[in-house]
Amino acid sequence: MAKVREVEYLSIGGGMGSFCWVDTLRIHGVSFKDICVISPNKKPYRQLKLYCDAIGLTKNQRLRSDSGSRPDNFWGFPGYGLSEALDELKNKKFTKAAKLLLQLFFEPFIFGYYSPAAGRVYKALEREAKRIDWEKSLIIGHANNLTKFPDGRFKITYSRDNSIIARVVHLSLGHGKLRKIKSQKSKVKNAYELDNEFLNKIKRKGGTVMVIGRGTAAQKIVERLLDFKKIKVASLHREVESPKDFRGVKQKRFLSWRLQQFNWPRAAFGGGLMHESDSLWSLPSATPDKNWIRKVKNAIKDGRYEITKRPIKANFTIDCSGFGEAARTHEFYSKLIKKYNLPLTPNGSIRTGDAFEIEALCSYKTRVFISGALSGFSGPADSFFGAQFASFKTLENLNVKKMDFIESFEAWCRWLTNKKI
Amino acid sequence: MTPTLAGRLETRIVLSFFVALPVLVFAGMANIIFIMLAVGVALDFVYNYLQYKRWDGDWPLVFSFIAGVTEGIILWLIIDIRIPIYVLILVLTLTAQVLLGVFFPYRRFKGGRIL
Repeated sequence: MAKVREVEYLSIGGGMGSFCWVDTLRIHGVSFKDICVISPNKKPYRQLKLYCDAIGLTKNQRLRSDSGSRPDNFWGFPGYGLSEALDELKNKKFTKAAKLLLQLFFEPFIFGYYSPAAGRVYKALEREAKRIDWEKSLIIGHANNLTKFPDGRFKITYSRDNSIIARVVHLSLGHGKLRKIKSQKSKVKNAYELDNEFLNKIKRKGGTVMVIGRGTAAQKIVERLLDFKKIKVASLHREVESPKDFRGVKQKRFLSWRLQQFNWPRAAFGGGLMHESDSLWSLPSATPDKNWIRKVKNAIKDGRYEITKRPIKANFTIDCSGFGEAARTHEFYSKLIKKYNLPLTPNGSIRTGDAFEIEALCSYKTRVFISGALSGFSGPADSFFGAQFASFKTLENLNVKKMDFIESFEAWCRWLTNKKI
Repeated sequence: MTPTLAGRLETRIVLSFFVALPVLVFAGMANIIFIMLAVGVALDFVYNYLQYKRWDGDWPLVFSFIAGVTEGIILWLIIDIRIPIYVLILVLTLTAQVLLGVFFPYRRFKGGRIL
């Protein structure tokens, strides 16, 4: 029987969570030979791109993320904004560059917050993936199961009957199943499964389209639908809650849309609100995009848009209520929860310690971490910054030496000049 | 960057000694560093209070600039600081604040704390 391969670090997932974790380890001097990633995809941003493309967020459109949240840059400097301004300068587009610099200086006032275009993020990830030899650590496959040995190490089986043994395992397998709504009265499609065929059908047949949800996906879909002629759009917003959080600070509202630039208040991303939580902060919210607000206001005037508290009779329904939050809805996680009787948070995510570790699976010399969606971290875990924050926290829990300020500067220079590690 | 109060204070102390002090020594005004620091630290508590009145709880770059100008006016009123020297300190401090992340990358994960 062939000997089973053994590695020190193994990440399961292969998306943004895995990428940030591996990038952090590589920058801190871990060799690619000691790291493995089990992923169904070659590119770390493939799943992200699929989701973005589905809701119409193509590469030229801007994401909901700030300039400094750079999954391809551990330091967050220069942010995407400054890089974009420098690129414009190189292309001799001085007005564009000046506008970007002014936007960064005055944000969020006058020009609003800066957000990078999706294509810029994909390109930057491509560059960093090459720099850290991402593909050399990659095993293309689907992880099936994790088993803990009596000595603390873990055996992971993947793609039928292959297996690998690791001492430190990082789980970042993304979301659970998409919520499915059934209706006999109208044709229903989830926003993340939208295709041109369905959209063309709406365009052709016309009528009323009900959009369920009030996050950015719903915001984008409403915007897209309002471009179609002869279509009436209705947003289903069931409950209306108080706009004040525990601090007594008011969240902006537009009709019953909750307005917030990022998916959590900005200080929850490593700032003064990172150890606080309020149910209002993480509820689905839309960005305060002035053009979008103007468009919706005009549609209301023309009788083409309304908000309803109860489901209405519609020709089509687009469900933007996202993914199931319970880890039990995820195939891999549900097996793990059952097998090791893992404790869950009240909303069904896997409970973790401060370093994103699943305490029930850790031992003296071995670790299992979980980050991203379905991890029990009460904060913006499912974001670019969240993925880097989790990587930093795991680093503190591992026996990996942190950089002093000279080492950090040297490593940053290597990043800047695109030199391999 | 969304600093915590501890992050603010640590950053102020480090930048005061490594950026502002050399400029003041060069200008022959090193003795005012402690007044400058005292005014700044007192104002940090005010900034921190105002910061959490914002929904996002953040502190945009332009606020740091406005805060720097306010501190300059206070220092000019109480100790008649030379304006060109203060402007130089303000520009260097704001630049250093942005560049600090290159040397202290973990800072952004812990509310701007350096230690």
